[in-house]
Amino acid sequence: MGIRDIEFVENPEPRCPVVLILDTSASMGGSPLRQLNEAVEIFHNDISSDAQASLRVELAIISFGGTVRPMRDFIAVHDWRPQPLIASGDTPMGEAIECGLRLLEERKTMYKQNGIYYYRPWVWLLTDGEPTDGERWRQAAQLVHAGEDRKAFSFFVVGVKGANFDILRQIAPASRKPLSLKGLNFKDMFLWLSASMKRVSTTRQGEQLALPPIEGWAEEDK
Amino acid sequence: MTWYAAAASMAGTAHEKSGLPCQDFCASAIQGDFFFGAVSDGAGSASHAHDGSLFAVEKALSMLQAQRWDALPQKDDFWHYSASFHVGIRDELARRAAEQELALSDLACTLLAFVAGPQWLAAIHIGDCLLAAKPPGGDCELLFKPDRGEYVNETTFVTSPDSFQRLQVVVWPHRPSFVCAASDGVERVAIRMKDWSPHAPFFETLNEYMQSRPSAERGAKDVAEFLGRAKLRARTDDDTSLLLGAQFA
Repeated sequence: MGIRDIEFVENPEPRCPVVLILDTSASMGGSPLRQLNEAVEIFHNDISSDAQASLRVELAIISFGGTVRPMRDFIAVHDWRPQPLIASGDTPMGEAIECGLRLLEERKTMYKQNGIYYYRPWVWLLTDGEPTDGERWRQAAQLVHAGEDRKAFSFFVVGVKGANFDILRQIAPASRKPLSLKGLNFKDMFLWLSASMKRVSTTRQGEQLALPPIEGWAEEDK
Repeated sequence: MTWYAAAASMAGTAHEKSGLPCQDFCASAIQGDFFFGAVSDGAGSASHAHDGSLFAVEKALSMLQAQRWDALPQKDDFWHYSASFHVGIRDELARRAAEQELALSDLACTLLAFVAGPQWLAAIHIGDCLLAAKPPGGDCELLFKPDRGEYVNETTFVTSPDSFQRLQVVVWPHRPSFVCAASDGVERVAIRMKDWSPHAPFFETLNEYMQSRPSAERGAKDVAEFLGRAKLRARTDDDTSLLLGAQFA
């Protein structure tokens, strides 16, 4: 006689939150946005192919073009159906960053209240331009640096050709320079993000996270 | 008093995929009326974590067994003992690291060690293993909360600079009729994480199994079979260790 069968306790999966802050200003219209939409779809499919990651990785998308449009709340990739992004207007980047970080803080509060464990969140800013909401980006940059310093999240900045890298350098945390996207290779960028999230969402105690190489889709800003 | 013990460790599915060895280790010893146990979980980031967990458990058991235990220890006395215990484990890991020309952090691991007598149990804890004990006629109680940072994959290792500050001890003044120690890989199926309460069917079933008084060999085989079940492995991708003990009058 061995050990009898046991009905295990049901616990929620630990969550791996990701915030995408995506530039959908008028200059992204046409081919760039079409390719970005396709890439988001590929991102969705790639994470969904991993049953565990699709339950653990939770997404909030904030698009900024004319106005800042946040998704209502975080959603597990498993339950998420990407909606096409539409280009219009200017580039309220400062407000969009603040909005993304606020959503993230609210999500963490929800995790804590419900006893849900989570991994260090990722925030991903993608733009082809520069902020048009005045000096607000400076305030947002301070939030980024303070949050990165206390390990509240990992913040990534990716500039498409034409982006103002002088400003992106000031927004990005000192320890993680902005990345310059090669052409319009959103697809490989999102495949990289997907591969990285699969790794983040299974890191064990004390494990140093080894991220895949970025050469295929970006170069580090000099 | 007679103690019976059953224990095993198993590599998790995540480790099998990446070809890593099992980085958990656990072992126990019975000496007269006393039952000694230790569980250690090697850090995923440490190159020789599987050695670290083995060395930590062996040293912990030898130190606990070398100590004279009698009546219920006073909490203060046991706290003082835990300081020398901590130094002993650190020194051992430092010596082993030097022997193999490694950094101390290459052997990073958590550690839970306990001594259980006829009428009490005392334990030392660094990291996030779990320990439960059952008084006669009562329910299993969890004796520690895991030491976690904000994120699920953060804990303290014996080799961490602040490990002594993070060390916890417990002196439990009841007769331990059943004891269950495990690495954190098991907690997802054994503990309701929302309020950190023990999942009674889990501990009751293991206690019931120990009432069959398995031999050490059979116990190791049955626990390994249990840890290898598909149903359990579908719920945790981490290494798992489970160490059970039961005493009979």
